[in-house]
Amino acid sequence: MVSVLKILGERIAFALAVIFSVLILNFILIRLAPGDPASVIAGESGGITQEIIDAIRKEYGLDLPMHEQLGIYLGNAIKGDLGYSYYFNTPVVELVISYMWPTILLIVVATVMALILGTVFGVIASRKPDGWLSNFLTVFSLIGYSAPPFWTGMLLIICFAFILPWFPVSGYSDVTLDVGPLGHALDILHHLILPSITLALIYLAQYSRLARASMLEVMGSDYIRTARAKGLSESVVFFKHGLRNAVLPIITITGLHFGNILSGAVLVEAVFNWPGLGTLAFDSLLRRDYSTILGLLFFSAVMTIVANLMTDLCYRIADPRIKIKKR
Amino acid sequence: MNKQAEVIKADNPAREVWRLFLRNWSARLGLFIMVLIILVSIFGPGIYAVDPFSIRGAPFTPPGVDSNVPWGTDHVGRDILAGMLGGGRATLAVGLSAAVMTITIGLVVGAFSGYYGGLVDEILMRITEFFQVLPSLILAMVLVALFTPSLEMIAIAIGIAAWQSTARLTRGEFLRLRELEYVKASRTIGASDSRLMWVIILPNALPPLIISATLIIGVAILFEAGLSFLGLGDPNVMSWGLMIGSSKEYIFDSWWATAFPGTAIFLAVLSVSLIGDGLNDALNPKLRNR
Amino acid sequence: MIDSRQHESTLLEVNNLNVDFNTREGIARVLNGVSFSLQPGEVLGIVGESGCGKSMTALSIMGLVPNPPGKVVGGKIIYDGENLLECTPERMRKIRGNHISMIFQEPMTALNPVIRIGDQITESLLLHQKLSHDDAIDKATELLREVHVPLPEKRIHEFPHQLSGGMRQRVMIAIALACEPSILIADEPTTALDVTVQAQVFDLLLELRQERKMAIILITHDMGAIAEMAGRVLVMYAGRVIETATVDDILQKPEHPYTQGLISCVPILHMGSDTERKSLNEIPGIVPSLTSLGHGCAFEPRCQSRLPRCAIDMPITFDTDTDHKTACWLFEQR
Repeated sequence: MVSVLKILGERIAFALAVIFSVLILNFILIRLAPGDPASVIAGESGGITQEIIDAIRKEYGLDLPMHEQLGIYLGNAIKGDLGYSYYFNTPVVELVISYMWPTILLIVVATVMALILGTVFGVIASRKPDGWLSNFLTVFSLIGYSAPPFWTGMLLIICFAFILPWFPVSGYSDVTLDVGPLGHALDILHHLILPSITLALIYLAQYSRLARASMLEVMGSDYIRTARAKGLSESVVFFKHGLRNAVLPIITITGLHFGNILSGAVLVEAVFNWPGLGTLAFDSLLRRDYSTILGLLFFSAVMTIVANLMTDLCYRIADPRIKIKKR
Repeated sequence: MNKQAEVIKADNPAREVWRLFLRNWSARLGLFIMVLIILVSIFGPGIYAVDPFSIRGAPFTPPGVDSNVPWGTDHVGRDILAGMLGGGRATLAVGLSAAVMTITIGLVVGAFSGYYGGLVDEILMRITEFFQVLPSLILAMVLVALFTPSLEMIAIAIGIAAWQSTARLTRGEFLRLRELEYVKASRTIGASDSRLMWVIILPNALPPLIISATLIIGVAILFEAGLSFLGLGDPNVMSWGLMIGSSKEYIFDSWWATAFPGTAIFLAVLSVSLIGDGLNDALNPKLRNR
Repeated sequence: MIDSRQHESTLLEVNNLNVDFNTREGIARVLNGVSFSLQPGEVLGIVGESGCGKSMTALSIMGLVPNPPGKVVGGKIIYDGENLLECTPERMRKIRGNHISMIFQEPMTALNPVIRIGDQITESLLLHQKLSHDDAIDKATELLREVHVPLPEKRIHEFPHQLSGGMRQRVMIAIALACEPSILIADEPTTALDVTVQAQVFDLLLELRQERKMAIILITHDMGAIAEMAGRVLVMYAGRVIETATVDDILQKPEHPYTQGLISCVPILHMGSDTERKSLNEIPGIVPSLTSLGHGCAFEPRCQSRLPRCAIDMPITFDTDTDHKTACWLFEQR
């Protein structure tokens, strides 16, 4: 128990160090960008007056020496102030948090979809390592890996929103509908299907290939032979003894992929106008709203750290061996 | 006769790898697509000399309707075929130079980390872990947005955002190889650190690095496409990503304006992945027998 | 029925067992006409070099020959009047782990790393003996105590990685013994363990055999273990049984040239310092590839006393003494 707490403490300390480093990186990037930092912070949205520029210069202490500027920046960050978006007229933290939930929803749904379907396909394929499903998964994972997500998204829109109008083209929900909370949730789900499939497609086949390889390896291991020697039925051997061990590497990979999934989500959201961080990124990039963009970088790092911590936790629950091993 | 062939094979590992590579039909397919894309990108714009930014026909002309613009036009009437041919150059150039950037950064960090170990390793690996936490597309996006969106900047940004896996791979290889007898032997006869790293260890670390470099070209092409799609491409240079990005609002009116460049990106990345897989099999013949 | 009465005292009879393996180089006959019988309460040793078919014999009895690439292509395995090769998979599962159990070579990998010790032991109790969960836990604790695992109440809640190799092998034995089988197959149960632990495990097996009157098939290449444990010994070479005899006969008057070589490979420990040290012998040559066996005796290329016909005809098995059988042409004239 003590060792678990110690490892957890180490992880959190590392996470805080990383978060701190991202802040410093952001600070450096603003100063490195060409042009006056004050106008970089203000962004290129219209209506920036000299007064605003002066206010920014004063607030960030831009006339002070560099280390004091850093002090002010970090002090503000600790207070939860990552700057102000002059284009959206909102503090960056508030803005990013309000756009964060749809992205989390999209990522979670897509990841769960890719994980479950991928594991199922991979496990089925592992029953016949040279069968058609195995070959199909190999080809399919190459396609999923090679296709740009925004292109896949567009193809899906053309097929399933335009030619076959089953799903909405874009957006998060239909505000014109008045259907109560449950109906609203279903409506969001309806909008969510195509974007989450697009995102899941990138990883589904990769996970299924991994699941197949992992399952094949596990089913050839000694403890599976032991389980069979006990006279257990093949399904108990497969599910109780095999599957649990086979999912371990998939959990690890999912954790490592989080940053990529987030990057993919940004592109997918931009295709489907899903009102999450990707759309926010797209809009703020268009206006060169740097405060928001840097806030996005910060939050995506935080989300990745949290996701990694959670993966770590899942892995610890799934694999008892990790508890006493140090990383 | 047979004996002689054996000797030649043993003497020339590169030829053996090439032979194993060509035995694999999917690797041959990948190579074929890649060569085709490269040839078309090099000679295409010379043969079909049309400025991809010039307006050549009515907006939204479908392919095969106007012989002046055989592959149709986009929403402002620019020639899709010209864009495809010109865009290939930019996409490939960015993909390749970004891959070079990525490999260079990753190789240097990984080599120092794995060779020196200890504190150097600790510091460099912390930095690597830090960069692993930053989602690479978002980091590249921030870099390109803050600085000028030129092809060079895009390549540099991708390099800065995507080097971590190469660094880890290189570090692992160096850690393993530096303990081997032949390296220790070279050390005892007084080879310098840089000679040990780059002349003695590196060549033996190359096979996995070559495979990873190949795959990184694909990643870089996807990155460039993604950045262009988000409006961060170099607006003065036509690329496949830029074509998709500028036509994305009009997919129902002109599917061809996004479908052609999208397919081209897909094929380019696919061919690189196939080549990477083929190299993997050819360089690790043991794995294939499993 | 007549048949089963005839072998009333015989617990297990393996008759002319053939197993083929599909390999890259072609079909390999890994077991070729293997026959032997096992009496209740007996310890039968099977010895031979790696790849001679010892483990495959065990897996065939358990019905666990990996398929593909392996396949039982002929013969009979009669247990309690029933041919195991002909019974349904369901029936076979009822026998496996219940009437016939097996412990494996590698205790480090033979236990499932993510399942608690207790669950791994109770699994077969719940399945075969239909015990309630609580009873099964009690029985598992009892079993661990029986195989001398300290603090069994605590151990059943632990995971395999928390135990040492010797302890894991004890857990494996507990799993195998859970349903009080009449046959225990031990496939090199101590190869992966320290020497001191090896002796403990052998003592434990002998003790349990005494208590439970179960038969043990001990597969090993350790002649010392055979001398200590076994009553009768099978010597296998390249998928065939080449000699069968009591343990004393095998050790003192081995007949087959291969067995003689095998015995002379064993260092004699009780030799005093005043005795001249004898150099250890080794059998020259290597075990032949099973895909490229000729018609003759598989040992012929390595044999020091080969006859001309050894390369042409496969030797048949000769009864050379009471309870002593040898498959070698040298014994034809007797």
